[in-house]
Amino acid sequence: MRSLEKKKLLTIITSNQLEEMILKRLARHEIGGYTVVRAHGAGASGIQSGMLDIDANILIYIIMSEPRLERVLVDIDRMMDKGYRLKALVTDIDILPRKPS
Amino acid sequence: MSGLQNLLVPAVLFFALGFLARIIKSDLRFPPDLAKMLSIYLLVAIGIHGGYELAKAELGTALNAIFWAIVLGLTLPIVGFALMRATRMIDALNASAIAAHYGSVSAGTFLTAIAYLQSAGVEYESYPLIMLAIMESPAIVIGILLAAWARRKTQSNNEAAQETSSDFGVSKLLHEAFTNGSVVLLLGSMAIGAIATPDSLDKVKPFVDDIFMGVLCLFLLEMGMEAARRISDFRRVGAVLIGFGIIMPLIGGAVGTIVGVYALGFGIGGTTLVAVLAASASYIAVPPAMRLAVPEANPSFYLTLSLGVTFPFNVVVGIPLYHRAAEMLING
Repeated sequence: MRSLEKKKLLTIITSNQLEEMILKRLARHEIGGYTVVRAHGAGASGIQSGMLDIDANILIYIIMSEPRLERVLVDIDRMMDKGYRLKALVTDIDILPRKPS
Repeated sequence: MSGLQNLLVPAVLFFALGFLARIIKSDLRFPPDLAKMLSIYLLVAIGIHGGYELAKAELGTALNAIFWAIVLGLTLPIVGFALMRATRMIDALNASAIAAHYGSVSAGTFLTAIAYLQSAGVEYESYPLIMLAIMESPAIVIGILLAAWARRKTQSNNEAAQETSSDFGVSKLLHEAFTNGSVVLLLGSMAIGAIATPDSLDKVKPFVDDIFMGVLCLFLLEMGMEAARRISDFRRVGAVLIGFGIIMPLIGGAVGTIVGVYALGFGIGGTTLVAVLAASASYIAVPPAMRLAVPEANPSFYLTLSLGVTFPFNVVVGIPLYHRAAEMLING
């Protein structure tokens, strides 16, 4: 049986308009694996009803190692400094790897 | 028919129904992406119809319409920006993002105006359709320039300003603005309507003509719900901006009416449509562009204004008003 591996789960909540920008940033860190889920909600940016393209949110889930996460968070931090509206949540996870170690 | 009677058309009444449904907290809800699908249909239908009419049009008048569409698209955001800044209550970055919306157009408002004119039996030129396609994007350029100017004024470090610019790639952003799906769909459908033979167009007539008003009703039902959703954001937006959301369309409508009559020589119907274009605010092409290009601006401001204030204002008050203004200027 595979052993569980400790990884970090980065969850980004943001407008769907920022998806391409964020994925490009992730690609710079050689992150090619992610999951995007459509969402709706509300916050400081107002209501994101999800009914129109302009007010729909997304959740981007990325699993990565801690060293890579730190580099990604520096990028995310820069984006937030410039005013881009997103939330970045970090969770410790245990994951069954794709290949047995 | 009076202006008020012309509002008693199914399209506008469905808008009111959608608004009411949200107010009474009905669980009525559209499936995701249905509004987008309806929007695609409406743009295709109006494009094919308009293209067929434009094939018989005069090139000189069409080029003149394009020229004035660009002028309106580039100047109205500056007027809006100056107006907001004059209140001394709106910061420059939010003002630039909001102003860009008011230099662009609302296809939904334009289509509602067409429904209004058809119910009133008023004929209209097809040239405003080209103006609709052209005016979608130039205001984005002005919004970006105003925001860049605002940043330079507030930031002492030019490098930081340039870094922000390069972050979202201005050329890529402009490429996306001018190849926006709505623009491509509208211009493409117009080209198809102009090129296709009349016999072949007859075969799609049931699709693009007969069910058009019904689809518009469904679209405005969703837009009514969307407008009502924004009411909760009114407090965040504030009275000054709410006032702007009503005054700016009146200014745009007045400018558009003058352009329609004196610069373009359109009749009452065509002038009304030009006024509607100048008075409306975008909720398709400009919001995503501003979210990328002016991230400092609060999206709840421009979305609430565009969808929650100006769109309902134009549908209920603006369109009959601009029609009346066109009548007064042309008939004397």
